[in-house]
Amino acid sequence: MIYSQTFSHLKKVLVAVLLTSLPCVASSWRVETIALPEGLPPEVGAVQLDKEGTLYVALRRGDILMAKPVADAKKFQWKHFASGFHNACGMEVVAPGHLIVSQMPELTEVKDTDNDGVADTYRTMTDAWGVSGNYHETNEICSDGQGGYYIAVGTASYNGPTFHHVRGVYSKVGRRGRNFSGVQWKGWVMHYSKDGKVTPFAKGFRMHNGITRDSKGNIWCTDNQGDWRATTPLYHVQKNHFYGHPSSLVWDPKWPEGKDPLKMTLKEIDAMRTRPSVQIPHVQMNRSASEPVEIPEGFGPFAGQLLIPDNNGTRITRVMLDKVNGQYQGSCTHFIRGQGLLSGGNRVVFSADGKTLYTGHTVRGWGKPAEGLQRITWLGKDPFAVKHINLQKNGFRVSLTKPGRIDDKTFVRVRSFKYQSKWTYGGPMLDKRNENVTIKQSVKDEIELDVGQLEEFRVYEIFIREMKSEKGERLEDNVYYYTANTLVE
Amino acid sequence: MKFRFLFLTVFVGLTAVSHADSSTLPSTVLTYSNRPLGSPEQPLLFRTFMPDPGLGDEVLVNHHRGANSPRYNPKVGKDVKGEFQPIDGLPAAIGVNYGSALSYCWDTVECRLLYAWDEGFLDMEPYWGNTQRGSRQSFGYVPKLVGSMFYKAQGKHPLLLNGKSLSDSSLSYRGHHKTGKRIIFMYAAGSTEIYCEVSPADKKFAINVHYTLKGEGKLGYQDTLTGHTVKRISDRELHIMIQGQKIAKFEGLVQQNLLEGGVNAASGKRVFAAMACGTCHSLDGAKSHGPSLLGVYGSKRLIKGGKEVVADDAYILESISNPNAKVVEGFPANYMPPYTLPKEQGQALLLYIKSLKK
Repeated sequence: MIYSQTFSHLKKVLVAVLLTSLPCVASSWRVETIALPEGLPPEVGAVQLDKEGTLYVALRRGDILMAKPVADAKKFQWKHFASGFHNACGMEVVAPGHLIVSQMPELTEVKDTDNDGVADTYRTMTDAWGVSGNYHETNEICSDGQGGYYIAVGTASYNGPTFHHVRGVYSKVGRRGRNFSGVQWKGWVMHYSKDGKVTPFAKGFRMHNGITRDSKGNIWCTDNQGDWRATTPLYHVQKNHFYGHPSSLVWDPKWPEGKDPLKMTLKEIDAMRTRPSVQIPHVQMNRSASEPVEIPEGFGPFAGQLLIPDNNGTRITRVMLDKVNGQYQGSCTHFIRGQGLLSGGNRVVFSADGKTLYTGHTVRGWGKPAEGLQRITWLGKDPFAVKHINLQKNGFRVSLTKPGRIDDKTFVRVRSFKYQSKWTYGGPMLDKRNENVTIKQSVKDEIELDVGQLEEFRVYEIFIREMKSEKGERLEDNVYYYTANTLVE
Repeated sequence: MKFRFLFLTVFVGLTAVSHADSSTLPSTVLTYSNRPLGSPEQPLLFRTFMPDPGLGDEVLVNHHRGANSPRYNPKVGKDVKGEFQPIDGLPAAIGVNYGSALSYCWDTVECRLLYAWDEGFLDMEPYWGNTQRGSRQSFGYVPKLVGSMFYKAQGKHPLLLNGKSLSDSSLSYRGHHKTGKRIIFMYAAGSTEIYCEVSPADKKFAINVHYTLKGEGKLGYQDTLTGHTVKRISDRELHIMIQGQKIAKFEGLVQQNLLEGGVNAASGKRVFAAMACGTCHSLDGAKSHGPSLLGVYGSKRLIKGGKEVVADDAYILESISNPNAKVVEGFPANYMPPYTLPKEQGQALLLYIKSLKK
């Protein structure tokens, strides 16, 4: 009797543990940790694959390793490919044995010219930005699709110093502030064209530790919550646009000499800036966004959407873009939460068949668990999940991956709030309110949420509980955030 | 059955700590050691912030000058009392090590050899942190020199192109070749490309520098320092042997006695700086990665899970040694590493935090 009571109690605990982890356990994907060589700090600055399937891993202390992926994640045969990089955080592959690497002081072409499997030539493609001596000034790159690159040049942080002797022109005005731009092009996206010409492309970034080019040719940058970033943003990067962090403005050729951008009014900055396409709630979704990547065919039902790892959480955000009035905006939800995923998500790359996502993790100085190399593999069974959210005139159309069923228990709540980016480190959800919502289901794999009058620049939180697929599967996630910068006319 | 399967998938990822074989990697691969080293056969070429052993403006002619900057408080969006002082360091130089035989610093901004030393290389602790503590140890990220310095550049660039010092040309770094033990730096003066190969000499405190002009013109050499043997191979090729002498000895990061003067708020301030607590905790009320420490002592803290506690001695000490025990609402768990401080250092840090009153 005692035995069976204890047993039943134990069972309850087990069930409780499983239930709390259930909503975030997506059994459609498997997360594995890939073993890197023993004794090497697995601070993964960048990951890439070449056309022969060789995986390149840049470690932040300076080495680049390579291996052919094998079925057993513990049995990769690592070889040393290149070395001597200062905080390599951006990498693209030209061909096997031929990489483009962005490191703190420059963009470098790395080549194994004698085909012995080890790089021998390190050509400086450009060093057209300054180096102040501040640890925070890291760079990330993506291809421009035409043989050139976009370079996201990160700002410096007041948690570290700058040097007496810096590389490049120094700006006393640019040096002021929380995250700052004391030397050239910090807080910019630069364009390096195929013929080696470097031009400023877009400005107003804080720490855009993630840049990607999607299959339609759009450039996307994530940025990090902090000063002038109320929450985690995703930006659609367009030429000459300003994205709201003022310090980088001092390097705009048209900027008046000596003018302090931090002394502009909030109204002026708001009028100048391009807003994030998607505002990703910082605590709820993604504290520290890194490299976005477009989901290819072969990875499940979300092809064409973006995944964004969290550098400060064991999770990956899924972004569902929606084009309204010719402008990108959209919603976000969790893709992976827990499941053995490491924190420190930094760089990602998909295998050529689209079935596997390699993820590189690093957070320096914040403890060991948040670094390493992992892979996430599609297991072939569609989850029951929200596939897409489209803005309608009076609400949202929520598409599902499979036919769903609304019954008496189904609960839907819509709330909305605003963000105001300013000088403070992050910002709260403002002007929160509950929306009246009515649910309609006209098609089996869609629900329509009518919330009446929508308001631009609000973020709508959609919460869905107790909705099941026709086969009785639980809905993968409960919460979705839609950024409504523009409304359906 | 289904539950059991789920359990397995949940835990497989969490227990993965095994490592791949590292025996095929070269000895120069960077490890957890804060004292990376190459060897005469396999030199280590390493890019990081490099120490500036007092080179001076006349050597660093192509660098720009930093300046003091006002302290800024993001909570109010304004400057506050005090200034940030610049520190010494070289932003874009390269360090090369051949084991105990030779280390040198070659700079990509001045495109020249800046200094050379032997019997050691760099102590990376200020950049990479203390492996035992899992954290950085300083505000700056400049490694410390280890060994005996025997050459330090002075004055203008010693290489002359058509009779003119390269300090008077516009220089641009082009990259380097590295094969076996040979390292060749490539740069351009105007549009004329020059290769520079630096290697150990077979004498103590000596170093070889080999210059090759890749375009048209005539090379010359003029150094204000003595001890140079110039071998002219042709107008376009020079071989210099620099015979230096011991200038200074460096010991790496010298652990300062943080508790000098006793266990008090002043020594606690040194512990705070040494552990780089300021990277995440502001002293001015501004929010950062972690809560501000201004006025934290004695205040009520809302803990994740809804409980409210008073930040007393026990709370502060626990938050240092076991930060996940009570995580303040609005901040992530598993973010701050646990710090195992000697008891007196912890007490001093506590006294310092107590002194940070609003």
